Amino acid sequence: MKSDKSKSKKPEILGLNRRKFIAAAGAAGVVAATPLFFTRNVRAANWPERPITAVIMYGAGGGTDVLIRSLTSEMARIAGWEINVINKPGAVGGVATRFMLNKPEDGYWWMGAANYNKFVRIMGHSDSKAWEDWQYFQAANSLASWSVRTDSPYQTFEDVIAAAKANPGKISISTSGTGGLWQELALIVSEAAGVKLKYVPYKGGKAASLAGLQGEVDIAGGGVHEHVELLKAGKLRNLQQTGPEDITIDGVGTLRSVGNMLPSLKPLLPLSGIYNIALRRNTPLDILDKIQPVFAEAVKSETFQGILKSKHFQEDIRFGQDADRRAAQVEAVTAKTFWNTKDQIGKEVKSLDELGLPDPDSFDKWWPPQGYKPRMG
Amino acid sequence: MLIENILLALSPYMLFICLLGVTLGILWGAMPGLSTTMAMALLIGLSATMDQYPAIMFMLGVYTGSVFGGAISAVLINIPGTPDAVPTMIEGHPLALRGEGGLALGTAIAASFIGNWVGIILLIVFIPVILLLALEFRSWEMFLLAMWGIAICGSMASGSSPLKGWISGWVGLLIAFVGLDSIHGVPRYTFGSLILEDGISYVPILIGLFGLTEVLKVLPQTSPAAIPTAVGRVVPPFRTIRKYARSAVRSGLIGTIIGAIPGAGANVASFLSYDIGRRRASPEEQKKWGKGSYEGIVCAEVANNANVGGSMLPTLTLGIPGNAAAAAILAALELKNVVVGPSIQIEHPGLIYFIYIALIVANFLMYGMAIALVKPCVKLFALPRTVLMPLILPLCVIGAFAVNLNFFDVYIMLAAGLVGYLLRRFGFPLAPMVLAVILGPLADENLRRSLLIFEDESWWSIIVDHPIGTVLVFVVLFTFYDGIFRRKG
Amino acid sequence: MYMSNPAEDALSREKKQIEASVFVGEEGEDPSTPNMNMVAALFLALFGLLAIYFAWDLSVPDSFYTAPGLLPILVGITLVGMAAGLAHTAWKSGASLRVLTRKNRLIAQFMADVENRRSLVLMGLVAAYVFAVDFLGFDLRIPLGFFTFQFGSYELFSIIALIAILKIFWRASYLYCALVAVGWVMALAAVFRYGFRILLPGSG
Repeated sequence: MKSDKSKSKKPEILGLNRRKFIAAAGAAGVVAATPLFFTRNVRAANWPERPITAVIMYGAGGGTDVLIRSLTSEMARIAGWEINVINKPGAVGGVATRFMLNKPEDGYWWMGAANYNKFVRIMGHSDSKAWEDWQYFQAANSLASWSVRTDSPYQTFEDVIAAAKANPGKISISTSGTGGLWQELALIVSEAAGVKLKYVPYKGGKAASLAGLQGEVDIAGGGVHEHVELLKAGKLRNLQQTGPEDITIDGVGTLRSVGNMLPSLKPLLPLSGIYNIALRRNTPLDILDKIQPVFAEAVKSETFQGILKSKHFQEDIRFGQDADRRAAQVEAVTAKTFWNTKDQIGKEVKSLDELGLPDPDSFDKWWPPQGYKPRMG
Repeated sequence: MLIENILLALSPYMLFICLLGVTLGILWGAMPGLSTTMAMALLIGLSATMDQYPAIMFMLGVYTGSVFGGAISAVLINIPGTPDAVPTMIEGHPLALRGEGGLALGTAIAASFIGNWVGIILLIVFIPVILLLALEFRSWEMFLLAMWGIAICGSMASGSSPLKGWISGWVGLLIAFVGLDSIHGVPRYTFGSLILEDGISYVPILIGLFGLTEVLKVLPQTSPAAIPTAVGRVVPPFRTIRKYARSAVRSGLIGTIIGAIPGAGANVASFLSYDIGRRRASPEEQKKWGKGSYEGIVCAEVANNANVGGSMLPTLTLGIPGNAAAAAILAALELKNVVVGPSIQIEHPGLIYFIYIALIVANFLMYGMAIALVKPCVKLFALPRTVLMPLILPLCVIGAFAVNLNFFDVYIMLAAGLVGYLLRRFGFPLAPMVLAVILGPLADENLRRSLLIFEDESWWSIIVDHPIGTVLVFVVLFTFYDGIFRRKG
Repeated sequence: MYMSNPAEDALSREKKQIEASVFVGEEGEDPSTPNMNMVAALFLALFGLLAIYFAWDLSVPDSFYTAPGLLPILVGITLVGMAAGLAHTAWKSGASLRVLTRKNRLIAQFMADVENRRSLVLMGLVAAYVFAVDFLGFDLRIPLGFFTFQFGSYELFSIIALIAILKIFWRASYLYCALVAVGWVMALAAVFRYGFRILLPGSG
């Protein structure tokens, strides 16, 4: 709570950091600002007194955008808050992260994030740790999927693995971009299967599905939500998905879990895209406690559940220490995968040691790390 | 189902929403600095507060309106509102200076109206054929399509020499290479800057090169040229339209097909159609080309509007958007829990008819509103340039900023404006640079992806397996040959 | 509002240019002289060489064909080639390299033209405006009960820059300049702040 007091002296109504504030103070006078609002403190009891801004770290119209927008609009409806949503894409979340770090920890700035923002540290875009600088609220997962054209010679996952073992580096799979989520998940699966694939990057998951449909690559990589429409139309056939269990979808049949074919992967499942909202860690606790039930209710709401169902996302609510732990775990898995395959990625990545993370296999022993301070229950 | 949705789309409330969207779209497109991309991205958020059907109606209205709206500022003040209006600017502005601005815009309106119809009809009637064709465009074909666009840089330039056009385009290509390379993620020309890793978006470049450059050029003039306020005739005579019927049909086809190819947008469509149009025009018409050819306007405006229908085609049938505007409509529908894709007819029966009718309604309203707005727009843009031009500056700043909410883009806009001013003083055309900044990443990414895919294939199997690609190779080679040897001097 | 009569001279001038030339493309006839083309060619060659130099250093994670630097190098080489072509044409039309040694005279010539001086002033003003919005960024949010009034560096510096530019180029009274500037900027900002609910430049 100590840090809360020190923060509370800041003039929080001005949405700017101290340096910019000093520079702007002269200009502000011109605007005949009343003295009243310079002296107002963080009064969590009355929060929120003005609109909240949710900053989405990816572009308008993408998967993260749609999910976070519908979540915040449900939260706004339930609690009667006003939430404005903006997009600040760039540097796999790095731009939004830096922007948020310059904002006051007053509960008025939320980050619409994906995957616990696990790429920013590994790629060297920011040093902020998910479980030390942020408080995450996780809503849902999106599972990865491998599909092939219906006229493909590969009937099953095992067929592809056998072919890839016979021709290392020749079986191609489309990804949503180098260093992106779907490439990472495909790397994890193929490492576990002991094969090497040819990764062909496209601009986004939809373009990756299209490449599979056009037959430009042997396997269409991407998310279940990106494949399901083409599966229903009988244009693609699913080989595996990265959830812990098989999934049955009307009009498609069963999508087999990769865990049933590669038991070594089972403890890591689900391997997924993760959708969350994050606030700065030192946001007053009573504000975080106000947000949590509203968040949970919004995830359970009919509208949000409808979107999860139609796009085949998986509900997975986590907050507090549970979210802290999950954040560290997914970051460790990703860091290890990228480090092991760093010769295939042009940009430099950081090692587990540099990041202060354990090998994913010994994660349970490592957590909680030294100096870890739980914030919420 | 069909009748129900038609009646819904024709209800007074829906017509009003559509009119509102179309009007806003036209005005938005006419504002220098405000792009269609930005309008559609902002509308995703706004549509979340609306019901599903009015939201679709409104977005399609804005989309249809803003694609035409770009022509207004292009013709009247030499600043294209959208990149696909650049050819319209090249032909239309000289006409405006001659006092034929009204008729130039009237031709653009008629062409847009026809273009929309071609796009809609092909969308409704020929979905399977066009989809099949569009799906043939894989990485190799996309690369060649982009190269074709880059090759016509030379002929976009002919005031000076094709050489200057290509040079301008080549500088644009180098700008386009900035950022993480898309195949290996290697930072190129980023000089350690994080923000440069995402590359340089074409929106601030367009705003800088045309908007800011024009302000910098016109405002200091002691006696700037102004367009005559006497508009004259707006609706073009039927004879004119009939005269260019062949160009219109050809441009409509080009626009729709290119729109249906995911990744290629209205800008590629209008530039290609414009260039093909010039080559196919009669000798006496060719002489007018570049100095105010009505046929040139027809080619560009039919193509970019036919693109609207074309871009909806893969969106509705595969759930894969044809361009950024279609992606925004898709996202708005997803927010309403409507998943667009092959099963749309089963899960949301009738929705597709609603969208067809909405496009048709939007087209009629666009036609009416555009004609109504031409005269006031001409009057407005005939204000003294010394008042008008300064007002464009804050628009340029906001337009560059708002797509990614990133101030870095404003600096890109500023730099592009200063560079554009210099290039113009040195007699370099600017249109090729914008074209290259748009097409550069497309060419680079697709070429290298094809090379990755073709690793184990022999060159003859590539030629045989990719007939469209092989034809495009010859087209690209011919375009370069034609530019270098035939049109020199 | 007055009708701009002097504009008609420029209009007829531009008209004549248009009618005199063959295929003019977007910008009327080529305004450059052989000497200018020579200078441009030298700059472009330098630019191309720099592009090649920086692309040469890029890592090659895979085969030669997918090397990230391949296309930039090819584009750089052809750019240098085209610059050489431009220099050759300029040379044939009578350009001389002596332009480079007579810098001072060129600058004096440039500054002698009132339009050029006005251009420089305008560029300076625009650049100062953009830098001010960024570096002196602030974003006030004043809750008024029924709604939150927002005012940021974008509004403030846009108004200041517009007043200055209008005063210099339009030459109306300060009152008119201020009215136009305040009205336009506040209307524009309102559309984006309260209509689209996004951040404005300077606050992000």
